[in-house]
Amino acid sequence: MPGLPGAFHWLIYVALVVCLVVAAWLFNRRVRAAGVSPAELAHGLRELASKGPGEALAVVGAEVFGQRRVRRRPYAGLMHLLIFGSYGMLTLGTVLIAVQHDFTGRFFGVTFLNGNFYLVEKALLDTAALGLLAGVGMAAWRRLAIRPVTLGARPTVVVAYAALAVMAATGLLLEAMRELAYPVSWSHWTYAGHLVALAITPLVGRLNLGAYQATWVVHVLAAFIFMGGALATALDHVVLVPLNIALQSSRAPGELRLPFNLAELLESGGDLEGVSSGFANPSELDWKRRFMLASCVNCGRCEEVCPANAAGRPLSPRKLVQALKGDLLSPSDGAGDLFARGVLDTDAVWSCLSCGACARECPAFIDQPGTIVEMRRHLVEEGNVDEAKALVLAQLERNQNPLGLPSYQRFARLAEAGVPTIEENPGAEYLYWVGCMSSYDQRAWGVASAVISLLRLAGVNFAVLGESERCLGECQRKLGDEAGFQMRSMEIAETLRSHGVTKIVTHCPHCLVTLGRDYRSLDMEFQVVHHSELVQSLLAQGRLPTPKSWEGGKLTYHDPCNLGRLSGVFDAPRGLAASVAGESFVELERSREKSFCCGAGGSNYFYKVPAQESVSGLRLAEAQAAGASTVATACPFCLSMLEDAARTAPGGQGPRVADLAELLAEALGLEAAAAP
Amino acid sequence: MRILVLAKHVPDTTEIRFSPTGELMVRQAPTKVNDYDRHALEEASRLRESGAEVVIASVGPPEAAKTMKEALAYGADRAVLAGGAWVADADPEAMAEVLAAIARREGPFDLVLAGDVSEDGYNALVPGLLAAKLGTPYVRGATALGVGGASVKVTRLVGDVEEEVEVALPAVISVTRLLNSPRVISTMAVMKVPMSKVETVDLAELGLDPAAFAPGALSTRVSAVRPVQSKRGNEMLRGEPAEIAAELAAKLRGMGVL
Repeated sequence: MPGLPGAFHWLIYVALVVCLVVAAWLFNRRVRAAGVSPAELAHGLRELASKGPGEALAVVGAEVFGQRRVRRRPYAGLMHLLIFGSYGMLTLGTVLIAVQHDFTGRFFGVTFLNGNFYLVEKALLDTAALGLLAGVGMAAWRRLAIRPVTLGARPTVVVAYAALAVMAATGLLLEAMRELAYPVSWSHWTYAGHLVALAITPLVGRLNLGAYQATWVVHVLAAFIFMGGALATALDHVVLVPLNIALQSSRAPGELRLPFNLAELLESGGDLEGVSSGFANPSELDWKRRFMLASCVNCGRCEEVCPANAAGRPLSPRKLVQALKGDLLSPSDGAGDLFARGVLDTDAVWSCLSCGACARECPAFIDQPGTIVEMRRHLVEEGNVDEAKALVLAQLERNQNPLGLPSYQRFARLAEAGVPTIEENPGAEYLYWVGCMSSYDQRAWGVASAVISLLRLAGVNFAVLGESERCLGECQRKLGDEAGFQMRSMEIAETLRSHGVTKIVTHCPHCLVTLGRDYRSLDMEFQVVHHSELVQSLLAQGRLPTPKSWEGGKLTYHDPCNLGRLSGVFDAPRGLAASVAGESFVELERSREKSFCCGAGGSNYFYKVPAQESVSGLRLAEAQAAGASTVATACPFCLSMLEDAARTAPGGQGPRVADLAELLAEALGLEAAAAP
Repeated sequence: MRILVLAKHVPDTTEIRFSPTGELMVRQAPTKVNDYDRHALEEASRLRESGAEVVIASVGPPEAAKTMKEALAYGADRAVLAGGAWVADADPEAMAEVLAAIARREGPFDLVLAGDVSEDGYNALVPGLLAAKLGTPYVRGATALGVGGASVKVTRLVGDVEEEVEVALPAVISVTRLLNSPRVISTMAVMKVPMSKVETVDLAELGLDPAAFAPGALSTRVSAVRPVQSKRGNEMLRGEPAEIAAELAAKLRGMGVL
């Protein structure tokens, strides 16, 4: 370091150590405030490493270094990338200099910052300094001028940003001063410093060693203030978020936490007294979920994509997580659960549609829908639910469907359509899981009818369970009756096994997710495909003809949350839609992973919450804006919700709503399997 | 305060059907706690929170033990289930006799709560018969209860008149579904109730003579059950809304509805 006394040089290392100690102390304080001990955290990370950290590392790499989710917001994403990337590069550059100067060069005479590599590195670091200034400038503009509701300009975060800006600016100033004192031929590589040098040339006479040293001290102080103090500010997410991403990386979209495995619990004959599936207060959560809540940055992305929030329901996933986090860090007074203490209103947790839009958007990998279901579990265990929800749960017990219709009527339409039961056709390749909606609802029967016609035309050997089919318990689980759901799942798995069923096709994405993924998490494995996948493959194999013409106008497709975002089935329904409508297919603004719920998810089909608008109405309006005259979907609940919205659309009857199977069967001129 | 709650194990009426040959198919139907009794259980559970002891009494088949667990999950101290082969033919008189024996054995009780009717028989006789056997007052149709000291204030709906009755304890009160909103009983809550809280007793253990409960000795018996077709029809009116409305009004006038 030219022009500085040697003592300065070593002081840096002393300061670095002090800085890291302060940062570690702040980190410890930070996680302990959330009720997480660093030992638990370390244990969790070791556990992750022992299970093979590949997946976690890949996710952390994509999300932290690739900024995958952060980049989705243009302004905030660019700002974040500039600050994160620039700071990272500057840190790396500084470390390289330190390594060469004080280690490889000093002890082994080896230098690597030479030649073109050095020049490129210099240019990159200059770019990073500018990038950091630009990023901090964008942050300042955002907090002071744009002012999203979620952001304030708290003094601590102002200090942190100021430290970054001062660090970058003084870095360039130092470079300029060096250039003026020791001109070099390659100053165009340090272009930013060179520009500063040109700007300060008139002052050159007054530049002395003292000014240089003072600037250097300010530069180093700024760097250390940031490094040591960031964890005391809102920028603590720098450490918390990557750790949380690693800890949450193995969770599949929409996957709910298993509080217990009922089969094992019953087998062990253990005492059930302390067993609970949800939480009454955030302080009861295990450390991993406390850490998860603590890592919320309050960025508001969840809120922006939440359909419940968009419809003016009393739910913002951001406010909900912030309320839980706030209560975790400093519990409010009062006795009882978090609802009794006024931390949250029960309407907030019942407003959630379990659509997973928020969780998919969250750059910190917070599980908002799962957390909400865990609060519902608590409410159900306490018996604290209103009559509409109580009725659904009671009807599931009594009638084996959430609609409260007699279980013995389940098979009526299928019998009339001449569909064989698995007893009648034990050699069936596929078991067709019809689901409650199409078994009981006249409109949704049309979907089953179309599927039956298509399977028959393609010569698929299939059968149904008949009267022994019953609700798989998706709505029960989302309502929070976890033990009831698991009990049901064991009984249904037993029925399926007794018939030797392995391959299942269903047209209900709620059944798909439940029978496919959720049952697997309880060690009950079945191969389940959605009808869109099976029909699309039958089309591809030529077992079904491609329809010749389409006269339904513009056709759009609404991705059901349980099929798309939560099961990853996007292409098969689109392939089917293209087979039906060809060039007349148009995408909705919010499609595929970004799809917007129909309003029925999370059991919301069965009860009402206060709202300003209907979620289904918002979605239908989007389809109308896309100019669609037909809205295809692939879920009986979406069908019911959107069709209802179309009937009551402003300006009279809206577009036609139909299942993809219905459209294909119709285009192929197939007769309905049976009159409803 | 000591409270006895009558809770009956009943088949779910929404799942009862007649077979193609016209037989009543009750056996396959799922069973549950009589819905009216849930309101009595809920009320007792609330009183238990302020210190009352709650015992559940029931008459039913062995499977009713599972239903008792559900009843206990509302919040009660224990349940006594009287059973035996005689239960299948038991009439309200026999049930009341057995329940009275349970009440005497487990008693004395300050208050007996029950649902107004049971969903299986719809006789609405047992609570009154029990009161007669115990020699206590009986009030039916409670829509609100105010228990205090040595008496209970009962609000009941008689037609469109609300009546407030004060009765001295001990008393038997049967309740309507307007009384309260019973809490949801989760599967886990039922599982958490230990089976040891359900005591199963037979007639002899209650000091009753089994001969008096033999089918021939009972005062009533159900001699036949047959389906009744209720006449319902529908007619779709088509046309412009104004025409439909006019036609509908004319039809309703014709039927004497309007």
